[in-house]
Amino acid sequence: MNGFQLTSVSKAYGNHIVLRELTLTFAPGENTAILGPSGCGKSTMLRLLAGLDVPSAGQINLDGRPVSQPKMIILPPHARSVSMVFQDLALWPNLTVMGNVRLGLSGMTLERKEREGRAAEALQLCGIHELADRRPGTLSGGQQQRVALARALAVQPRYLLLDEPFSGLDLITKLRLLEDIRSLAKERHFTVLLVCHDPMEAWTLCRFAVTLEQGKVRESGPLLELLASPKSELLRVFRDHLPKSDSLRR
Amino acid sequence: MIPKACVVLVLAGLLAGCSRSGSSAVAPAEVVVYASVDDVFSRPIVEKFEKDTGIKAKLVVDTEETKSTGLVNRLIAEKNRPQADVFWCGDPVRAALLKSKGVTAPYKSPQLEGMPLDFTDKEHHWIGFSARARIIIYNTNLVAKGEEPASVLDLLDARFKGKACMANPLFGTTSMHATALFAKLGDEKATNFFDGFSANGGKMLSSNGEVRRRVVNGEYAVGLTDTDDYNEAREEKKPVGAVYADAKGMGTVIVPNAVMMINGGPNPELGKKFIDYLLNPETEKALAESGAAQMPVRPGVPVPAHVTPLDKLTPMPLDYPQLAERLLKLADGYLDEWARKNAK
Amino acid sequence: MRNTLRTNSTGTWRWWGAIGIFGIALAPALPLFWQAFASRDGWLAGRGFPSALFNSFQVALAVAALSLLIGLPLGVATALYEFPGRGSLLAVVTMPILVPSFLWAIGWSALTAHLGPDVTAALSGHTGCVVVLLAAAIPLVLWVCHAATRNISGSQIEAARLAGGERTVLKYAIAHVAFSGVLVASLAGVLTLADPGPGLILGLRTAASEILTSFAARYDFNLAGRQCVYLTLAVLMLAIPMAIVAAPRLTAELLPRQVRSGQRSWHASVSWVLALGLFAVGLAFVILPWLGLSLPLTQSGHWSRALQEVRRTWLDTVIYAVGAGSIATILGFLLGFFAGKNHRLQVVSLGVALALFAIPPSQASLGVIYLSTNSPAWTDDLLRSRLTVCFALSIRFFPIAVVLGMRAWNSMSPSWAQAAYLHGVSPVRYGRMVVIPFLAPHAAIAGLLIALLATAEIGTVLLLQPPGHGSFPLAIFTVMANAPEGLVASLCFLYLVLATILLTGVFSLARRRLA
Repeated sequence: MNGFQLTSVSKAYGNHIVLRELTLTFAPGENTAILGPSGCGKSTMLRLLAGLDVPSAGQINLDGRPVSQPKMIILPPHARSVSMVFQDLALWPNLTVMGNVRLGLSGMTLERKEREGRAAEALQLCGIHELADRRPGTLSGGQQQRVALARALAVQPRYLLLDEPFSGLDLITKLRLLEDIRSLAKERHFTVLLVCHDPMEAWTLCRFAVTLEQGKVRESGPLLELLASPKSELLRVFRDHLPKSDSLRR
Repeated sequence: MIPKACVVLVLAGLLAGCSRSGSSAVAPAEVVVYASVDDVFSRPIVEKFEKDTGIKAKLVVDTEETKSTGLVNRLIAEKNRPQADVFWCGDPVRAALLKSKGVTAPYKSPQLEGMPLDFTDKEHHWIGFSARARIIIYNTNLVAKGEEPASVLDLLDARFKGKACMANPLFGTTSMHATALFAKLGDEKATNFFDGFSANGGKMLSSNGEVRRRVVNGEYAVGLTDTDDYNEAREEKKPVGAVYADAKGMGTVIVPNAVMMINGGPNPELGKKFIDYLLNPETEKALAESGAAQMPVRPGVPVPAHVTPLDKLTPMPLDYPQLAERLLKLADGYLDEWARKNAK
Repeated sequence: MRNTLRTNSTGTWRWWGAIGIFGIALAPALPLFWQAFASRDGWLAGRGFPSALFNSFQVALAVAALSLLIGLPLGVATALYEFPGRGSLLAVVTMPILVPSFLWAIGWSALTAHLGPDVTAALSGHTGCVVVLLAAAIPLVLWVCHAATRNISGSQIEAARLAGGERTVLKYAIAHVAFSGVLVASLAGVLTLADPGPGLILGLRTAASEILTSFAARYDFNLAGRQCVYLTLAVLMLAIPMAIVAAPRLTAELLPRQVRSGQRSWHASVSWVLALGLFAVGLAFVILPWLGLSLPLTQSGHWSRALQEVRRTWLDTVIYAVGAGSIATILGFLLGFFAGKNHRLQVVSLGVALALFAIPPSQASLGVIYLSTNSPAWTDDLLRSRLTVCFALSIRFFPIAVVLGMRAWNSMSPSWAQAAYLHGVSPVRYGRMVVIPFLAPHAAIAGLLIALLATAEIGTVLLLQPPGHGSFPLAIFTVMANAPEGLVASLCFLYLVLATILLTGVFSLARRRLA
């Protein structure tokens, strides 16, 4: 089976259980939003998928192959064809924009020429080629998001993991970015897994959603279907406040 | 960004600086001299030695005055594989102490000929030369002519109540002077002196230099210190005078320099040459003419007018090795207690 | 690769790494400690030692309390407000960190001698020691409180200002940094315990002067060793509980966070009061003793001889300073790496570092001499060279590098390493391209600070200098007793001028790199 599969995955830090017995599938092409209140385990799930953390129990498969088992990373992150935009963006502050993208590519066995080409292309794609020589600290919030995105896209991932990267952005910048990512995902054939608090972000970018509550899956499936009869309070409130025109647009 | 070149330069410089040239592995043509005689007095002599003999000398200076943990400790600690060839010590008591610890080696310098042996170790482990003396310094604005104290015991007089000072008797030449008083007067009279000094409002200061400063500025009228301290004040034309302590009576404590070979030092032959040079009449003359105003031990060496020749003084007869032993006991006993009581 | 880049990972390797680093720092002092207790004198510490220890703790407590009282409000206010003469006033107040305490003690001694017996009596014993030692303690507290205040976000300050004006802002900020202030004031108090100079010059029997007496008057290394151990144990007993309480707050307040610091504002009355306050501190603790040191210059200066001393010693002084700064920084930052975000390890590291501060430097130096004396000649390049002096000086000030190193490592977001791991960046490349360039300015500042502090350390250089390689402060130390006062004053004046120049350099570097 293609895509990520989580089978009875749990994660605990000491005595504190963050995720409990999750069984989920993220199929290729199905942009999925992972929603839920703070501390429900959304980011932890993303880290497990990326291979930055190991599950305490259960197994994670990618395309039918086991990639993580309890206390064991079988397939390291860079071999999973995933990329991630972190909540704090994790831009390396002493490198230029181009330097960030180039270093992000250094884990791949590429010819120098190809690496340069990919880096330039990623900057072009994200509309920040003019900022190539600037350092992240000198950029606006939106520009920094684009740098993080460019670094993530340069490796041409199959899965793009976004860990609440849009919090703190103004509405216009956020919507522009979301639209850009959606069209890029379509054009470049990668799947977006988006962790966020805000169903509006999920609505703009994803067709599928998972809601978590206290480390458990509350509901999952196509977002429209979930909105039709929401089980979680988050989606219920969102549905009640969703403008009618917006549902028509989708 | 700090230029990489700068970092590389600093690191390279550091490595180069710390490498062989800075190591103690001294080249054959070098003599290593440790000196607990003040830098201002010892360095010119060492520089002249280099110039006159063409032998390179490396000097490590300490000063007993400032009470560092110091070179005597370093010599004791380095005993098994010393770095120094020669130790030029400011007083013979520490020289005797080093001999008792097995740090020194005997050397009978040809320059000993014609020198009195009163200030030299019988087995030639250390040789005394150019001497200082213990004096009572007084402020001429506060002590009228004819009223000067002649003996340390005069400091107990009512006229000097609250007006006398001395350095900490645990350190330096004051410790030697204190021990000499115990040897000469006996324990009872010596403790009476120190107790009486405190009872008379006498003040313990941190160093002989401090005694000089406080007497010069009139805070104290009289103080116990060394001839070289007095000479500094005299050269700076301060209102001070001095008398040799107990010149008439039990005798003045004479503090000769003591030079010694270090047992197992890296370059003993050069060490011997340095000792010979130091014992040369010319060196004694130079030290007499310097700010240290030291009295040559060798008779007949010409001295400037302000330096009293040693044969004009009545030295207190002292057995320096015995003093060294006694000093250690006193430093752990009465003097320690006295210093503790008088610390404030 | 996985373990190296996962900075949150725990593991025994962190503990072993930290133990290794502390082992290096403690190694030179250990032989003497061992010998001290193996001797036939048993566990004796000397009759006067308990009372001297009591005196020391009284002085340390007074220094800690007063430095907190003065340094904390000044540190907070300098972080919040602009004021006239900012650069020069801060440089003057900071200068005592770079100058050996014995110079201030002599300066005071000379000044009070000039002013008369009443002033001398007032500034001797406990009072004198506290005044001299406060000079370096105040800037230490001031700068830590300054840094902690800069960690308060601009919006928090604005909220306080809206709620109740400048008084509320100050109250809020002082409450916020109080804990860091108490901690660093305690550190300053501990630092005083190892310094024998002021006690000896100003007539107070302290634990450090007692240890020195055991060395220099009794030549009893074993007794001195035991006294060192008792002093260290006394500090450790206070330091460990303090570190346990302090470490979480330290990481929360002192260690940097990624916040938008508030802009320093100009407030007419506060700014002028602040400038006057700093001027008063500078006058009392720097300018007056400096005046004392410089008094003889009014009669005679010995500039050519003083410059000759500078020429003779400058290269070795620089080598010792740079060497000590580099080695201490490397050790401190390595420890910071090992401690990572491991809370327990941070606590232990801080506690041990604090206790290490209390070990008198002569103890470690004599330990090194013993080691070198009993080692074969081929080890001389390591154990009897200028490198040895650098190493011994570095372990004296290594605890400062530990705090700064932990601060620097904590200012790196863990997600940077995770991002590198995710992208398959090799640890070496990540270290070379991200970690080292990021840490470099922090390390440069730590290195410079330690270099400056190491310059002021006399005892270590005296005991370990290879023949012919003394430092400039040591040159002052060795001539100050009997040389003409004009020469001593000229040397001290040159030292203070050079220290001011260096300090200005550090300030401008820090401003440029860490703004």
